[in-house]
Amino acid sequence: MEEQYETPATVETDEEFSDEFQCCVCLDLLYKPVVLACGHISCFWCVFRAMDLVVSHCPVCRQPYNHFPSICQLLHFVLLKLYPKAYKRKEQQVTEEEKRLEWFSPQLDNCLRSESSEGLSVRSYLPPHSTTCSCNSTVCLGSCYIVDGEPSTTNGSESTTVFHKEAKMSIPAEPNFGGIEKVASEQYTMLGGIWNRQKNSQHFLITDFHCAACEELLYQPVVLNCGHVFCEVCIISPTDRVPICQVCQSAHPNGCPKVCLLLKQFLEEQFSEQYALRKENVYKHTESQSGSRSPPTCSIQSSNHAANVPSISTNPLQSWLSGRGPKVHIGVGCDYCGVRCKDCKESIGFDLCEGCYNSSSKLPGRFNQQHTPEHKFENIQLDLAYLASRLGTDENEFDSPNGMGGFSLSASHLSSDDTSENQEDAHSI
Amino acid sequence: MVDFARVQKELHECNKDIEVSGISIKLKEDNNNSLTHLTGTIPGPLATPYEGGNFNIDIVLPDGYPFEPPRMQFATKVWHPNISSQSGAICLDILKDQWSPALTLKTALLSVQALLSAPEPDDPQDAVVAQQYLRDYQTFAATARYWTETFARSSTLGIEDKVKKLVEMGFPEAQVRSTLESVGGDENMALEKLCSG
Repeated sequence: MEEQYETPATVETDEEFSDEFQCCVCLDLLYKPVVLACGHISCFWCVFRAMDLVVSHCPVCRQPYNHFPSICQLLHFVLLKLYPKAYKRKEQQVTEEEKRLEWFSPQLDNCLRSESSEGLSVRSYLPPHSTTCSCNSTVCLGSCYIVDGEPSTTNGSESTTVFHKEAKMSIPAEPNFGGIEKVASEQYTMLGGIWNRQKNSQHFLITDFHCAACEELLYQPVVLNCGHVFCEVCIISPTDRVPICQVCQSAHPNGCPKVCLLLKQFLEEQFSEQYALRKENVYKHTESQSGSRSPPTCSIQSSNHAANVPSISTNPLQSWLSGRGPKVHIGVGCDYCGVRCKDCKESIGFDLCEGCYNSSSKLPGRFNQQHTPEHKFENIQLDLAYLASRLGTDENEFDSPNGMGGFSLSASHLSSDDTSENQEDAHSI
Repeated sequence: MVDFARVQKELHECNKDIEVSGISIKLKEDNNNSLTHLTGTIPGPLATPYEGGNFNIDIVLPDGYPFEPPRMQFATKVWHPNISSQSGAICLDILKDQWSPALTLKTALLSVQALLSAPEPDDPQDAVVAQQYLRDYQTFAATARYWTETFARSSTLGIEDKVKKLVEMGFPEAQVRSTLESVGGDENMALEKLCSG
């Protein structure tokens, strides 16, 4: 199916995409993919709309989670390259819908990586201010600056076309390419920064799929809440600590992540030899560290971890009261909040904490809010009665949120939308 | 707003392998062919009192679909502990709180079909049926079979099959044909009429 890419037969219509890349909610090609902690993937808006107010469940496996993960840019990039036409078509549809609702998803910069002939590593999109702002997962999207307030489709398509041209040109331009390819099959680790074109690799550059922690090809990839991808062995610690992203320093609050099978399968197909080599190396490495641990059991261990480590703020009430740890933003279903921006005009409201908003003037919010440091904040007062009613009687109909104290603004925004009220009906624990 | 693009894809996918699953979904004609009002058809599972029946299920898609479950109820009368014998209301968790947007109309209909083969009398929708199921299973099975024959059967046979069946019972073919025609093709009513007259 991937071979249909850029064949004359598909000029007019979308590419056929393989079923693995179909979103289980909209049954269309995944667009701005979000990977949940269980490794299942859905579109940004599909995940958002499927979320419940307090505890949400994966549409596929019903694993509970509290925090709305950021878009996985690696997968976004893969999808865009595999199915540019279908992806652009979906982008147009979603953009129209977003304009209609006046809710916007984060804009992703397409010239994220490897656009320059040097082939940038995954680390290249580490935002410069990431150390100053350690609490927010959306920060990593911060490097994708916004051209203007409105999502721009033309911008994206231009940069992709340029990218394809560059990719094609630079491959033949590389001298001794055959030799390099031979080396690649023997020892891919020598390949850093060199275009690696295998028969089926279709312009994919292996350095784009390097783990930021070990700087090698991702092995058993897991996607954190911030959307960054790591090898499972690099992120799962034997202790019960919450995984921390080594790129943007944000905590992964949804319990231990499971291997993203779609990405794993993709890597195995694209870089089969290198992936096999990685498997061997990881196996050897873990074996030398402790005789009993081997990659297969590592996977089982991590799933045990996932079961044992509760997601932070499994109890949102406790999280609100204690004031520690990332908070679930009740009503918008996201994280790290507690303050409300009084000046953000976007109808979806706010979603970032003050520290994150202050960290850069160019940071878009998780829903692409155009916030600036000049905006004023106010603390959200915890409305205990509201929370208790939400937590205690999940089956109840969601009453009109008017007069709900600090929540009223965001809640009323949501309740104006049918889907969120409808979530209420379906909601249950 | 119902996600119509998804509903259309679902209909296409479901009706593609109708031969395999036996499950079909059609637009309801008396509703301006709206995509929010559909009729699903499931065959009664084999080795159950519902075998041989074809059950129609009325489907209404709420505005929040697929983030909210579709509203389904039997249009065909059915005798089952978890289905109201009066209204056709279905007691099934995935149509209520256990709904997930990853489920589809087809998978929901498959679950309803599975419910026909595995009744849950401890969590009944129709208390009378559930009582009968628990206390006197033989009578329950006989009633369910009779309801299937009476209400879910007629559409399964072509006109020639019905004629053949009635002729096999010993009625003359010409009379069978005219009687069937006069009752609108309902074999049960035709049988009744043939017997009485």
